[in-house]
Amino acid sequence: MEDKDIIGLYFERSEEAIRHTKDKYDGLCRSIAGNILSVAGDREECVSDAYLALWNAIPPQKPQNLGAYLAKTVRNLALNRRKAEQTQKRGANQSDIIFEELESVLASSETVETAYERERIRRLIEGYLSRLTADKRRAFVMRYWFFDSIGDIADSLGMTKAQVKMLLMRVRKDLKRYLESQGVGLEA
Amino acid sequence: MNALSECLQDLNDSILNECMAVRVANGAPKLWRGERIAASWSIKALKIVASIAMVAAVVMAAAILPTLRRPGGRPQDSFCPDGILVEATVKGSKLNEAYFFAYCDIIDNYAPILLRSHEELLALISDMDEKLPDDTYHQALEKHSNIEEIIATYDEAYFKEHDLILYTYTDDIDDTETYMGLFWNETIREYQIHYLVDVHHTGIDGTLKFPVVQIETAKKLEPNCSVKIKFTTVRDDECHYCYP
Repeated sequence: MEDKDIIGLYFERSEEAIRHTKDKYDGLCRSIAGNILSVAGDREECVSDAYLALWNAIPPQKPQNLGAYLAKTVRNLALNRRKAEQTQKRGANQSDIIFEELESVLASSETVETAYERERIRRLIEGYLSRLTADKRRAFVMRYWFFDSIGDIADSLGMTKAQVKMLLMRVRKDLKRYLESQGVGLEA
Repeated sequence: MNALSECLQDLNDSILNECMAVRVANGAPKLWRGERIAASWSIKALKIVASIAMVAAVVMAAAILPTLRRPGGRPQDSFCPDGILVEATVKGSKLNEAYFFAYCDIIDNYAPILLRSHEELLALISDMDEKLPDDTYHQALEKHSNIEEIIATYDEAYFKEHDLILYTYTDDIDDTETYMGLFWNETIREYQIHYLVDVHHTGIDGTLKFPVVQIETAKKLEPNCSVKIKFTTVRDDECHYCYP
């Protein structure tokens, strides 16, 4: 079913909307939650919460891209749950490694303490990503937005794991240089 | 949560769409961690079985081929009718990539080294022994802990008795294994490869300074097929496997 038809069902308050959303995007939601959260129960709850959030948000909201909207919702919920996981020390996950990788680009959380600064950095990153080759951009986003494993990225892009690792390392270094040139991430 | 990750949360939909279209995890529900681990172990087990089968096949072929080609020959002497095997250990040292890397650091030379003879290999190892402090090898092993295990499993337990040189490396992060068996063919004065698995990796610290064994021919070589081998290190843009 097309996204606009599914969104139409939400506007009609038909519970079929959830079923069709699951049919189309459950794999996506589960993969994102699974990459970020280490506890199975939390992942299930996170995905369920995302569907509920979608149900509550539409209407009035009318996302232009249902998949991206849902993916962002899952990611946000999963990252919030991850904070709780960490507080309770419930084990490490792949996301810990990915966060460590990102630390090399932008370490200090104080750098983005304001919404304005976060928005500015997001725009800088989007501009930077738009100038990359498709494979570099995809690899970066898969790793640092979807929290995909190196193996999954390699499979998706038809590359070896070593190639993906090398590519990501270069993008991280380059992004760090770029952000610094824009005054982001520099020590005061 | 990482600062950059927060900034990425509201990334442009079109960029996300581009990735969603190609992600392998997108189409079908992805395995949870437990299932992934189980699958991973299954794959590892398969890899081990496949590796053992490959080695066994090579050994059997190597033992049989000389007899077939040269009736009355002594297959136990060599895998190749006219070949002479290189000893697995030379002067108590094993030449592997981590060790070689430490050597490159000391001599400050990352240029490719092309070994053309057994003597050149011995000279290289001798030079390593001379230049490297006694504990360098162990320090290198500590950096790459899996190497020791692989050497223990394959080199000591199996290949030593067949007088093979084994170059090996295991990536600590993704378990990529790089190993191969070599022997020296005196007639054509080149090293020959019995088997070869995944010769390329970039090193675990991402600095790309790790040596990579570059093979100038395709993988899956036939027994007795001859190749030239360079021991070289790769730095940044020099890696022709990643940037052909």
